Amino acid sequence: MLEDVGEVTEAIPIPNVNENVLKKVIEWCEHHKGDPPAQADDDSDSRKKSSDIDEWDQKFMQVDQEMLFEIILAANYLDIKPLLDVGCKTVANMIKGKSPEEIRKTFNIQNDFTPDEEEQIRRENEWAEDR
Amino acid sequence: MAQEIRMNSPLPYVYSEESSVPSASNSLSVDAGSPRRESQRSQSTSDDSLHISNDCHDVVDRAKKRKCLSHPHGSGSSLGSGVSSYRSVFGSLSSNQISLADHASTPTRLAGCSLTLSQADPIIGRCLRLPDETFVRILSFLDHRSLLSARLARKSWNDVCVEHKLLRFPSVYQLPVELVQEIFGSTSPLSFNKSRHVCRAWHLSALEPFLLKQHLEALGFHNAEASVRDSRNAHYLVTRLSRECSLSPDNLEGGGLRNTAILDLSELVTANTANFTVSICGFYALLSEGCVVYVYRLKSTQERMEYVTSVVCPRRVLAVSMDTSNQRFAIAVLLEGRIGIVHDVVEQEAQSTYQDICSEEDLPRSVAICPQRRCVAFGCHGGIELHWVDALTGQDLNRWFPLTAPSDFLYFLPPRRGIDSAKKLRLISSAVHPKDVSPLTRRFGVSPDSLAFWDTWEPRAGQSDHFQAVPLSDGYHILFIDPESGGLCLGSDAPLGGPTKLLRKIWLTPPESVVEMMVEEGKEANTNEKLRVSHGRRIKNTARPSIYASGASIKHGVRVAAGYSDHVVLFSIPPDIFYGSFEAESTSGQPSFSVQPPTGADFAKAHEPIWITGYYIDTIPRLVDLAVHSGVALAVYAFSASGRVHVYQLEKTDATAKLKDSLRMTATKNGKLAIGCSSGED
Repeated sequence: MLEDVGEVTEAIPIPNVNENVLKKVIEWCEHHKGDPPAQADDDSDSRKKSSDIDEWDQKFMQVDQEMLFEIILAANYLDIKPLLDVGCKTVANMIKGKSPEEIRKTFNIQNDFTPDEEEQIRRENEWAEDR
Repeated sequence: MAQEIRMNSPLPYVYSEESSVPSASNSLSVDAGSPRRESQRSQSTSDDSLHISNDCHDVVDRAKKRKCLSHPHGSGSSLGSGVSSYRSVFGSLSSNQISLADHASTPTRLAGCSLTLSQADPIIGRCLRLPDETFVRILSFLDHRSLLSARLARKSWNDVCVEHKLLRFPSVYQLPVELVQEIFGSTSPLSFNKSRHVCRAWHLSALEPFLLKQHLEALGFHNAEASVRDSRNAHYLVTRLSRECSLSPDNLEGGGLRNTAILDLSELVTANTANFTVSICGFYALLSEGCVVYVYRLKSTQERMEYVTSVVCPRRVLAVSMDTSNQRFAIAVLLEGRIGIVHDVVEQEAQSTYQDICSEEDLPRSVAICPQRRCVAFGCHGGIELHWVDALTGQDLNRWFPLTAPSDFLYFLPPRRGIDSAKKLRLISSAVHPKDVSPLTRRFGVSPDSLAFWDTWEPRAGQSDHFQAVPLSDGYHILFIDPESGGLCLGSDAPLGGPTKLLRKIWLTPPESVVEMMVEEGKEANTNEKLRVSHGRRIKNTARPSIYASGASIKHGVRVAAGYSDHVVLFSIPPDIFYGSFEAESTSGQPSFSVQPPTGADFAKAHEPIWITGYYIDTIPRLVDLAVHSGVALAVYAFSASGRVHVYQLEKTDATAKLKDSLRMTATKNGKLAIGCSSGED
């Protein structure tokens, strides 16, 4: 981000990240500043496949859902991929092993499928032919 | 707060019905795209059209001034922040869609009290006389669903919610599509598939080919399948993912195979046991009753099983064989008195009759028909007797091949594409597991005493490389039982182990629940020993199946049905694993699909043992044989000694429907099937 704006002396506004979230992001960055730089295959699937989260990061992510999603949004906005990964993996772990109804309950999501749509989804495994 | 809300106290309040009060339909924005929800909301608000006339005029006035509720994006609610550059997955939801909860049934929780809207009326008056700040404080204790209900109880309550920005979308609603997909990418395939069923927005977010392919690749259905690898059709990829997830042993949500038909052939059976044999190709079932063989075609649609013909034999039938994989519609039958016949299924006369098969001291015990030539083989304890018609002279010829193990199971191997000519014959013969009964004894009621050397070969069991070998349709692979572990293996000829050795490539193990059931039934020893050593490898201890069959179509992977005692288990071997390109893809990123099995060093590397756990289908009492249709219309047929055939297919209707809408057909005395009720459950 700083590379994009070049050399500036003025403060850079970050309108999408509030103070509390920014503090959390900075805390995470402080802790991980000594980490080795990301490998060339940073974007490979192997990065995503592992659901393992560092112990410190696990504790760091023990926040309420609102803060958790704010951190994910901030990490994405500020282009901090490792933090984004940790956030996404944390949410993925919250989904793991749950039924759709349990997932809805966990995240307070309403089931907005119509009965017809639900029936259609149920029939998805009726694979008709190769396409 | 709890003390201020006393549900049983008489509450002084005044209601007046004023139609002029702005209706909720004015104060709530309407999503034109959701007429159904609109009508729901309108109904609920019209029921609550009463409003408070004295203490809350200021609230009502404020409401009158407002034309509509602020959209969460514009009201300063959390949804508005941080997502400007993205499409929010819930961005299309308007404020009235947030009220989709079942308001009539959702209990409202007020500071520890739980009440429904109909119960809330006596409390409302007192609540509405509270100062705004106190009322807001009360509402702040409500969870999201209760708040949604509460705001529909009274318009004034709704206004307070809006005024003080109490209504907020759940945090997850803030995520744009891209981040939801990022999360989906971090989940397991099964969790991803379940997540797709959470709501419409997540369902649409998951319709991304790259995401679907990523999870199909994790399941092993990608690199070796061009139809998946090259597809950009999200709906096709969804059906593939949905199918494999529903057949996963970890799927406990239903949606997998269910019993769609029960075909009762017990009318044809006079003895205690129905002698079913499935053709090698898996498309025909043969029911042997005395001297008659009834031939049925297995179908995945409509009646599932169709009567073809019946063959009357001169003696009692002991064993049958049929293989139409090369369009040869004939059956080979082993009869009492060392007689064998080959009979075309549309002809009245036997094509060939063979007498004095094997010897009086070593009676024939198995029969196999060659799918591509006029050739038949009979197996006994000491070897194989092969009969064929010479292509040039038309003369019947035969030859004896001695074997070191009894020929309880005998099959012609299908020709390998591009390698074997139609003239080349390959057979595989194997013995039954020492702890199992002979197939002739189990299916045809033949006394073990009538089989020569029945008791004498068992000491050689420890030297056997495999038991009960059954070939797959590709001509390379074979299903068999590993003698040491008792486990079901899929392998192929060992390149260095000689003609009697088979390589262990994939181990198939039933789910824990099946093993537990077998232990409870006393059919499997309960042992704490989890690992055994076989062929120099540490392998898991596993249960032994008594029967198994594979689907003829292996284009989309291998489907194997196995019977563990009476418990039917389906194994799905992904094509990436079957063709050995699973590991290669994950390291190199390049597809390494090969229809030819690897050889040499690559072979050994590719054949590190892989464990695949099966999916429990059902328990069929007195299970005797299985068939699998592994194509697009997946179906598993379970044949019971009681004369019943249970058909299992992917769930097509309501998961709760279960057996009540299964097709029921009963065989008449002439063998034909007619729709009708069977005489009770198994």
